[in-house]
Amino acid sequence: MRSMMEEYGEDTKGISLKNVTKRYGHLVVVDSISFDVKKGEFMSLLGPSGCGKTTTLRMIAGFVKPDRGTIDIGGEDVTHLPPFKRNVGLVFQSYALWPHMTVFENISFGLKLNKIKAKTIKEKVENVLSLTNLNGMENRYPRELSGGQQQRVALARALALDPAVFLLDEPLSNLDKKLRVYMRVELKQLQKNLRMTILYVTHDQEEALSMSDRVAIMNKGRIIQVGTPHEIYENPQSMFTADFVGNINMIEGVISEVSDRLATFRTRDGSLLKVSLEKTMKRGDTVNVAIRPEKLSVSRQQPQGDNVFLGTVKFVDYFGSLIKYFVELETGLQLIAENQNLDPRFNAGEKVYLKLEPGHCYFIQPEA
Amino acid sequence: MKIRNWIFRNPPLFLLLPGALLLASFLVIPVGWMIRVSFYQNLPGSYMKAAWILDNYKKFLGDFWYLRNVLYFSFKIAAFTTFLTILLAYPPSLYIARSRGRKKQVLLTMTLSPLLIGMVCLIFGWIVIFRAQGLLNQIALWAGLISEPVKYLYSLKGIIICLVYISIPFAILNLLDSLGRLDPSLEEAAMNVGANRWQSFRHITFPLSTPGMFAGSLVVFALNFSAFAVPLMLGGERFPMMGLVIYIQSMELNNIPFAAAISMILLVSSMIILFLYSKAIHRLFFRRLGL
Repeated sequence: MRSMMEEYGEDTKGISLKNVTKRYGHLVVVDSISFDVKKGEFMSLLGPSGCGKTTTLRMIAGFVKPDRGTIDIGGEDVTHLPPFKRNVGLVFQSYALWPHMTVFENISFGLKLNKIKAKTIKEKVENVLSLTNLNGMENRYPRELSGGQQQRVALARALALDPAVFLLDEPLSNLDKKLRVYMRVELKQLQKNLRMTILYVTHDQEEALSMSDRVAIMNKGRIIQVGTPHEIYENPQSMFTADFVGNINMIEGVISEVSDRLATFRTRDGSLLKVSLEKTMKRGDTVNVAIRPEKLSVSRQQPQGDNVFLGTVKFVDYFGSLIKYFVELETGLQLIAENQNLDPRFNAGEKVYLKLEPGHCYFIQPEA
Repeated sequence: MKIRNWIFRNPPLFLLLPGALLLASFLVIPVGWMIRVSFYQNLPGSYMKAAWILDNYKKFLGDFWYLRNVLYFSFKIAAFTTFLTILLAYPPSLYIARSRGRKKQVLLTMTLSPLLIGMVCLIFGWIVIFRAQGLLNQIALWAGLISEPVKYLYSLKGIIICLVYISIPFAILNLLDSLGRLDPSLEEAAMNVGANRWQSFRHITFPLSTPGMFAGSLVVFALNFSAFAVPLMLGGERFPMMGLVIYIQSMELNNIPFAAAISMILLVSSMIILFLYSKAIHRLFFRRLGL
């Protein structure tokens, strides 16, 4: 064990979970998960509600005791430490600001418990207030602040104690959309500048992709895939990840031919697709082919190359900056194409050509 | 037609009507009548005579014995039992507020069950427990805590125990209202910044539960300041609390105007005390809570 720690060196001294399991009765909420958050890394735990991500966060903060496994923070085993002896800063979804305390008192409460000198406390609070753009708010009560300001006080309260790691539980989900997008940038900037180690729990894939250095996809108490946002989006390893992160066209079928870099795939309705081959696949394998809607090109003229199909636009979904076309091929297969709002535009009922670049299609094992 | 139009135009006022009628006939009119009677002249041996005299008030307020042994005595008992009640009701309230599901329901039902039994029955129950050969003394003797039976009946101890017992459900109900609404993440946030269980209770949960404590203590104080059945049945005339004196004056001595005047003094002093109390509490705690 020691040699392994030395090998990883400084990098592992963020959060490290090993085989952590939590059961409530017969229900396994967290099922033997292991992952690391490196020091200075922004990592997201992304999954649908009820997938166990909040329980995982609460186990790291110490509010829930794992049935099995170990949790390390900053290289120290904290599995059996009570919450108030762990060096973590938690930002709650509800902010959990103390309503009877001013902003100053909220932020300084933890410092006062540590018996730090009043002058040092004042400096520290001023420092985190300016980091979170809350200057001049110290004497306000939480009820006198907007949602965005309350959110920043919650963050400032965690920052004031210089914890080894930050745990953020859907901190932006109670803000309106514009502010949420703005806070996303601000939070990411802060994290970079202060080299904060963050584990960020969210069910919002956009949030996870835009802020994280790495994303862990969680479902039914298990970690399905860990990777950079790019890897997660472009190369999902499972049906769940592909479907949960972004939109995707999923086509069922069988591999009918394999050459060195291309496979020919026969879809259920009989169309033939060329798909570039990254993994080892055999002829006769029953697999799915996935392609992101924005990777499909739509045109009136027949384009050159492989995987060109004629279809009819069934429905046009207008989003403003984007337009989604629901296209039905002659074989009956339905695909969604997502285009930017640029010419040419197509109308429902129009005949169009769809082109699926073999390099943009990939195989995913269907779920058992 | 006119009445129907009025109803349709003022539904809230119309819905208030039954309650307003009930209050008018059973509260406003009797209290008004009592105020009037408190200025009547008592005719010893016969009844009373309509008049506008202050004799009844003078008799109470001008007599140091009444002020000290009745008014101040009642205040002391009420204040002490209120304090004791809130103290004893707090831990179970916290426990119930933190329980969930079936356990919470069972605990709540148990807490509130004394309210379903008439007060006279409850007091008879305590008499059985308090007697020299009663349960309390037998257990204490058997356990060796005392060498001879303690006198609970017709003693202040018994009255205080029984008043506290009867008040506890009211206090718990009010405390639960405050504690039950507290977001558990407020305490978790405190522990997250390094507060142990005691510190997070002391700095977070406790100050945030003061509205419930205040509401509970108002109810309990008002109940116990005017207590009548408990001092009557467990104390007798040795412990002349306000309610008991009113009872004796009206029902035994047949001095209705004097009883009415004491009732008025009880009502007004109750209102003054509760007003001053709420002012003080507001200054101490509530300004921070934005109440």
